[in-house]
Amino acid sequence: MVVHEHGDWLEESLRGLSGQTYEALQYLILITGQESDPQARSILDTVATEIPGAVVRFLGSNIGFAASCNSVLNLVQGDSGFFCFLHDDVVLAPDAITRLLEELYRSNAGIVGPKLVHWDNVSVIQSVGIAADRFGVGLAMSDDGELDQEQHDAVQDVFYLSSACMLIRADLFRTVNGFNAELAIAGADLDLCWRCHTTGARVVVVPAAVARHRESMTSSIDDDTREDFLAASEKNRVLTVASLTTTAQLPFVLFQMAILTLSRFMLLMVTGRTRQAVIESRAFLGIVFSIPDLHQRRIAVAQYRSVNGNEIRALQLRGSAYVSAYMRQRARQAGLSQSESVGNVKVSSARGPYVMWTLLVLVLLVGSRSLLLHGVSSVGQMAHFDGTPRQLLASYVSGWWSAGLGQVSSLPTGIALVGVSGFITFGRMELLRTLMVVLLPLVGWIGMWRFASVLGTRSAKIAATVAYAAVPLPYASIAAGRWGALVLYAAVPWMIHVARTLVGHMQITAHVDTSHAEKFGELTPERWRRGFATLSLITAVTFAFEPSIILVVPFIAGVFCVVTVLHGSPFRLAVRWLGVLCSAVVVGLLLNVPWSITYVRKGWWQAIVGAPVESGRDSGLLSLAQFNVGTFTLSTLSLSLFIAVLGAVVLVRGARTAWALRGAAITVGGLLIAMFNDISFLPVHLAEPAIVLVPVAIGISICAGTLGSSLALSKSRKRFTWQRPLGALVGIIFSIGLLPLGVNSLDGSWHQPSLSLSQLLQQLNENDSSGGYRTLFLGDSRVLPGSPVNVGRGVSYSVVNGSSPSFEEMWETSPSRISQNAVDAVYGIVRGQTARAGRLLAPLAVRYIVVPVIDGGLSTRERPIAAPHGLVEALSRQLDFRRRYSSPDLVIFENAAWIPMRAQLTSSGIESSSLAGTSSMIASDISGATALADPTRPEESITLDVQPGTIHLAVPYTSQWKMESQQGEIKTRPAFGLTNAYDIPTVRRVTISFSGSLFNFLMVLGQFVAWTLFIFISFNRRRPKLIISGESKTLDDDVAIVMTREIRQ
Amino acid sequence: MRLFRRLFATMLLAATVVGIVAIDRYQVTIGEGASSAIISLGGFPQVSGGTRISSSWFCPGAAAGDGISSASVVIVNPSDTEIIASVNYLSDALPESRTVKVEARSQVDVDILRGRTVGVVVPIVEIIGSVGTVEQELVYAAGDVTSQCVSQTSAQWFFADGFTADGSTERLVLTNPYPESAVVNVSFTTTEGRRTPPVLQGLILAPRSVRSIFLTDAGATNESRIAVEVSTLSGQIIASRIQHYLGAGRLGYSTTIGSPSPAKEWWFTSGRTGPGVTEELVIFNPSSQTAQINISFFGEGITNGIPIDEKSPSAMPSSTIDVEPGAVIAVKTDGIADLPKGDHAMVVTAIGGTPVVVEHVLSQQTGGKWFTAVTNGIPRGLLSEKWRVPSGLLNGARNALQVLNTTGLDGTFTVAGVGPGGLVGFPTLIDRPLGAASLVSIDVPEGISLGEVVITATVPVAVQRRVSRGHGLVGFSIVGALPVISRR
Repeated sequence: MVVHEHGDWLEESLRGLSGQTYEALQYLILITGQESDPQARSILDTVATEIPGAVVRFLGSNIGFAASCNSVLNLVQGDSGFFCFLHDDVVLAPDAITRLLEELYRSNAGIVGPKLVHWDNVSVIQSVGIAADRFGVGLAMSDDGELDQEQHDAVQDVFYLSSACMLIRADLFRTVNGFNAELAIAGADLDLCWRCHTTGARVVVVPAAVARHRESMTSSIDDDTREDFLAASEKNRVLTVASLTTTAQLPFVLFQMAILTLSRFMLLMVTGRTRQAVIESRAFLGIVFSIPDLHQRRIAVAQYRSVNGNEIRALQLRGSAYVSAYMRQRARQAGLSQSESVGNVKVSSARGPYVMWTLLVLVLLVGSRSLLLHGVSSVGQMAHFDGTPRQLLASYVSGWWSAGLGQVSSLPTGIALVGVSGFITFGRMELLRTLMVVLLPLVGWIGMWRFASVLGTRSAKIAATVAYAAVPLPYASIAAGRWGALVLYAAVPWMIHVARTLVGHMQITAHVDTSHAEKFGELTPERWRRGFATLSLITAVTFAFEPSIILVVPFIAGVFCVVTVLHGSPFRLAVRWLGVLCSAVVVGLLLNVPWSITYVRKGWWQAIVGAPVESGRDSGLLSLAQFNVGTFTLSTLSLSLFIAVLGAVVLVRGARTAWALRGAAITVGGLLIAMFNDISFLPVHLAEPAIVLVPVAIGISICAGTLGSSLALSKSRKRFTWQRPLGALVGIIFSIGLLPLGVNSLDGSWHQPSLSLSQLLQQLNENDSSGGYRTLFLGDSRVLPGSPVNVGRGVSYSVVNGSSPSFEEMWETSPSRISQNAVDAVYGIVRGQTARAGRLLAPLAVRYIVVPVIDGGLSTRERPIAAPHGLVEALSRQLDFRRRYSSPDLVIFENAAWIPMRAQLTSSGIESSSLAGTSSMIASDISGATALADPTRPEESITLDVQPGTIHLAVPYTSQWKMESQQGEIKTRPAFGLTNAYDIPTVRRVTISFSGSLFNFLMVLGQFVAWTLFIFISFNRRRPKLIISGESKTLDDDVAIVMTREIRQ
Repeated sequence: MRLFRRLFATMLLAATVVGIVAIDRYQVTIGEGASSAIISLGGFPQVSGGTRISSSWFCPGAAAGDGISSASVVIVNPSDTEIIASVNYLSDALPESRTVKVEARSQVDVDILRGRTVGVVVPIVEIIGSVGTVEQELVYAAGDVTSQCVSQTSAQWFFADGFTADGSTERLVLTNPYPESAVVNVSFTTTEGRRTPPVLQGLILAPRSVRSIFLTDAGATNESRIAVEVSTLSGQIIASRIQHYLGAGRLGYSTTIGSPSPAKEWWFTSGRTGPGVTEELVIFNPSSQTAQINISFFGEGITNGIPIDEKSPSAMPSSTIDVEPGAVIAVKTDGIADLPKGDHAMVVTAIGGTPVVVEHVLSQQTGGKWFTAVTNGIPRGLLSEKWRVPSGLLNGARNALQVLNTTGLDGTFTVAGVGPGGLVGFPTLIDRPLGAASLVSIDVPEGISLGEVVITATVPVAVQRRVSRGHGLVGFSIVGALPVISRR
């Protein structure tokens, strides 16, 4: 027995040991601590009192249970006999050792263990052995808390036994070199038993032998220690699998474990168990760092391995222990639910959510099958992720943003987030992109499911989630490549879910539908902080990808605030909606500093909401109501989803009325705003319809949730009311709206175009040796890739590096002198003010000018968005533009006057570059410059040999782009008054590199610290506790509001 | 929730829904796009009144082998600051260019042949900013020629008049100023009908090159009437005509850029009838529908009371003339019985809506010497209150300018010249009255500066000038002034 600390239980444990009927026992008590310690002395006294003949050894310190037990290898001689290892909080039944030995002989087992029961209640089983899958994940043979009704009283083989009490043959223990002493905290039992299995020894549980186990260690530890314990368990489990699985099986097992870990990570993340997700992922990734140790362990095991891997596999669980545990848990809950619901209102069967989620996930998988297999088309905003995670992060820290015409600027936080996320997919950025597209609808559904819990019934959650899944918005957004809308669709339900808990909205209990009062409560400060940090993080992440969130959220908050007041709730609580969400927006903005600072400038509105469509989009009410933001078949039928709004307003009674009105208000309000935007009625333009319609989708879902809940409650009543037939009619009409989802899923790619603008642009030949270049896109802002900027008269432009945009160019850059030059050139084309725009664009390395008409997203062959009137003709009149390609899909011009991104200028170019202003640019033909090599990424340095002359860099003038040679730094001078030039006196080998500023680095560092802090607060390891009458109790999320007051009208 | 609150909220929602439906009926306006970049009638000679980053001027070009003494472009800077101009020389060789500076309130002549003795050279002048203007001048023993330049290319060009009779030569000059090839079809119509010689179909004009075509080589030999239509299958070009008249009632030399489009109304201010004068309006109908043409005259003694608009009492209409699809006809004004002898102005109107192309041909025998002047008309859209004459006027020249009030309103006009002191009105030509639909022929006072001349009026007018042929030759050539068109 290893004794760690002295407690009340120790005497009882020792007494149980001394009272064994087996007579040939010898007792060895190992005490963690020095003999001089008072506590150790106290333990020694207790042992001397209870078992006078026991041998006592002091271990000096707490070296862990495994290492402590291993000391018997030195203290006890000989291979005959057995070792029975015990925790100090285990009380053996008097015949336990006898029973264990009898069965060991009878079964010829290597290790046997007793049935462990709870310390305080012997009729409750604690453990009768543990099964494990191939990944070492354990699944107890019995449920914790299961009543002992002799249902587990058969002797059976198990994969491993709890180390609390196990009896092992001494020779076997010596053969396997005892416990793995490195597994100090957890996992030693699994490791030992698995290794014993490799020798062919059986591990058997003997229920006839009973032991009470107090489990004092795990019940007394604090949160920090618990997390450490979990982390150690996971790490040890993974290392055990990696060291004990046979060589032939190891690659497959590791591959499967990688898949499992990734799946678990995503599941845990979306269900809010981030800590667990991180622990499991870290444990798996830790294999890489433990390879030398694993190698040693595998060599050690190989010396006594006598059983092949398949035989051990046969002893393990098939499939995943997680799945088995989940199924068992749900079955148990269903049973409990069934037993508890006797006599209560039945609002939905427990099977409902399973069916719903199974169907939704199935629809998502079927609908996304082509995307999952072949990847997402580069359409609209869904541009390719160029670069590795490391490159993206390096780019983020560098302070050089190559998007558009390039600039020294803080980069969008989204680039860093994508870079970090890239590690999850092991640098497979296209896989990450696909997952980010395909999984976002699922994230939104889960968010709506969580939010709908406020409505109090399972029916409400199902109805709300189904309605949210049925609106065409996410699928049309995928089809049109509107990533921003998709991000909002996923994030906003989570935001209002967290916000409502912060505001204090309590879950409406299922049976209350006659009271009109909404219940509000207060979170504990700790919980409030955590919730607000979570909300701010969601806002920050969303803003990082779609800045217009800062307008959508206050809109929702405002509507909710007004409705709450109208409903009669206290003004103070209503205003909380505004306070909480607007504060989260502010904090979200601050978390995006330094990038968000770039919005403090003229033109910030357009940078946030995107370029306008000046004459109005003119989609019309019907089109907006059908969420026609992209291709979606049978979207007309989706109009029937709006019946939920009408139904909620008419049919919902009781406390849910407030939510019904909130849902109806943001539906109608959202449509109103969308209509105003559609006809350019407002003094300012708003974001694209796909974004403006997100609140509409949420409103429909909230209404559907309230309606579903009310109808379920109504159905449960015996009395027939007029609501019943009306509700049935509403339900039938609503169900029609679900049909298009299934139909559209058959497409397999949510109608993403097979041929997108990016593919059409491939003809521009990326591998052209004539040097790096940029492409200028001109046309309607809806079809332009990258980040379009409006120049007026219905014409927008965007500039991308190369021929097609990467995701780094999705955010609008700040105006600069160089971009103003581009605007002047574009305006000159549009207004017919010059026929030499090509020369104005030449120093900017603009080689191609593209007028897209069909982008495959918002503009399709069926519904084309024509290029602005006269644009192609205006471009045709430019004296430096040659038409490279012309079709109904797009027109491509090549600028004959262009010079490469990095180039050695001609003599006329050198002369012209020494002057500033448009005059010199237009008067001189600077084409013919010699291209220099380009680095892989724009911000990377490059070394090359150059001839005497002038090197030109098509970047905004900055001394941070340095050119250095062995003779020293070559001074930068402005070229054309816009860009960088370096005058080279002699043949040299030079290095061109960007030197980031310390200020930018500090800002990024500060941002990292801020995010870490918020993540820490948000995923605070301490679980919330509810304080009721001075009694502490841990609660789940949905009920974690303290009922300090109830507000009635 | 109290009932009235619920009702209020429901009514509010209903009202919003009604509002949404109402908004749905709102008609949005169509975006302007880049249409402003396409200058209306941009292929005709004109000056933009708006701000520009740079202005391009495409001139008709000069044929070095035609015996020309010299050829130049005149770049005029009426502003108070120096301007920079880039002159590009396009020919059948590699394009060349040079940059010139034009001092404030001055003009520069830039040689375009630069020693070449063969081939055609077409100058394209690009001026930074919008204030400068350009004309082309040829010095030729058979009569100097001043030609207008245009600031926009076109995919179509028309020439109503053409002449190869009695050894006269007509050469088409096709210029492609763009860095991509253009494919061109050329057809012409004679008295015998329309012809599309295969050799003139699918002509490929290399980037930044010039190609000249003798119509006689294409079979249009000894023709007294040739209307030419040039159209591109891809790209845009400049088409000009170099005409050398050697007999059959015509004598002289002319270079002119074609008309980029047919129009429904053409104005001419330098008409003349009288002894020894042969005046023709050559009308070409390139469309597939019959055009109905009406010609009205303006000038002293023409007061038959038929209005050209509601208030004008001054025009005299001819009878309606039908021009068959694809046909070219010539209307001789001396055949119009009531038309008084002397100078007059004319407007040719396509009353049926089918646009036509019209050119004015004036030949006159004076003292046994002949001269021929050929002029493009001014379409209605280019009638302006301000006109510029880049190369100026000669001191003391008689009947140098013809200004026609194109409205039925009385107005005034002022003629001013750009000199060292800036724009200064000519002493006797400030705020001169200009009666409704009246034509004024202006003599240039002695002692004026040689710079650009600007004509401003209080009503839209049409202005053409008569330019001396030099070398002591009799007669004149007729050249339009440049209307200043203000744009949004």
